Amino acid sequence: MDDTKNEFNKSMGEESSFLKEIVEKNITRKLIPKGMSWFGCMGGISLVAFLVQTITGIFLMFYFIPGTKEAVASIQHITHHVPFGWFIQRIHAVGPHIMIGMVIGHMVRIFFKGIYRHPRELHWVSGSCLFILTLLMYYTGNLLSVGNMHELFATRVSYLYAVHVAVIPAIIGLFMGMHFFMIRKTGIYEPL
Amino acid sequence: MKDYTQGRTPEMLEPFFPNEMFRYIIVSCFLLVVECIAVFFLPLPFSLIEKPASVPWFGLPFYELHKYLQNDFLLIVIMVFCALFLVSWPFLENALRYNPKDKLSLKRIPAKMNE
Ligand code: HEM
Ligand code: HEM
Repeated sequence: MDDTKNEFNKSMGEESSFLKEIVEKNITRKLIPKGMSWFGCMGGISLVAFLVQTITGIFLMFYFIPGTKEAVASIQHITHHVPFGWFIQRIHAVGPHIMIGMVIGHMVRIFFKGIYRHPRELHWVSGSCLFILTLLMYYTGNLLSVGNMHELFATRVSYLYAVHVAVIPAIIGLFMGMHFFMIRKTGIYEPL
Repeated sequence: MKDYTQGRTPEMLEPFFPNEMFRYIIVSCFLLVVECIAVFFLPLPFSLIEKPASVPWFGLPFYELHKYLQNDFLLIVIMVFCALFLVSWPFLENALRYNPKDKLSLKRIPAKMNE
């Protein structure tokens, strides 16, 4: 009995020192080159904007009904009856404009500084796929709130909903993983 | 993972935590403030606007093109080509600069010319 307990404590100790090492290596003891530009934060802001969309999107899922007739009514319900629903809904509706602006800013910086060149071609490929996926998110999200106003899409609200909340976010997650993995691999681009 | 300390003196380095972390926190707060301001200054209509009719600012070039072409299929083909062009740009640039007489151009163009 005591033995298993000791084993347990020992492995916990190992675990925490392992975690500590990871934290020290990647955060507290990590050194980076001096004089990074504020514009280098643009990719990070895109990420934060995406996280804001995800959090508000999950809140919207609690009340949104992906039906032909119900979609628009449920958004009306969110904005007028759910406490702070209007705020969450509005953030989710204006957020994409700001996010897409930030992503375009990030892309333009990388384009004009020529950072996409060797060895960072695949950063550009994964990044531009992320850009296209973000635009698709905007498109599908907008059609969700159209509901029965546009008969062409009216019957497909539930499919659009699945694509907007599950399919594209999953693909985005995959591409973000690739994007960040490659950035860590080559390191950030620094001016001479 | 890349080690930034390689080939650098301590004066050329700074800690990630708290310096860089702090910068990211500042810009994240800035983003949240901008989003809140946008929410308060963009009008909230009581009836929903008809979405397909209202084009977002980043859709305007394609909207103008669509008005000019009057053809859905062609527009989609052009959009797909634009997407492919964007995704493959780093490789296209190499191909465009390729010059068989110049041996150096066989090499991929590095981000920094003296790399
Ligand atoms: C949802 C969209 C995106 C997110 C969240 C994102 C995120 C990031 C982050 C956090 C970085 C690291 C530092 C920095 O900001 O420079 C980065 C770097 C980079 N991104 Fe993105 N990105 C996105 C879209 C794009 C797009 C559209 C492109 C280009 C077409 C792109 C190309 C790159 C490249 C080449 C780097 C390396 C920069 C360097 O080495 O300094 N990314 N990205
Ligand atoms: C890149 C990220 C995203 C973008 C650009 C985006 C964009 C949009 C847009 C433009 C709308 C229409 C809002 C309106 O005008 O009323 C919308 C609606 C919606 N989105 Fe997203 N979204 C994103 C991520 C997510 C995620 C991750 C979820 C869920 C987990 C989500 C769930 C919803 C729901 C439930 C609606 C319908 C409610 C409503 O229209 O207010 N979204 N989205």
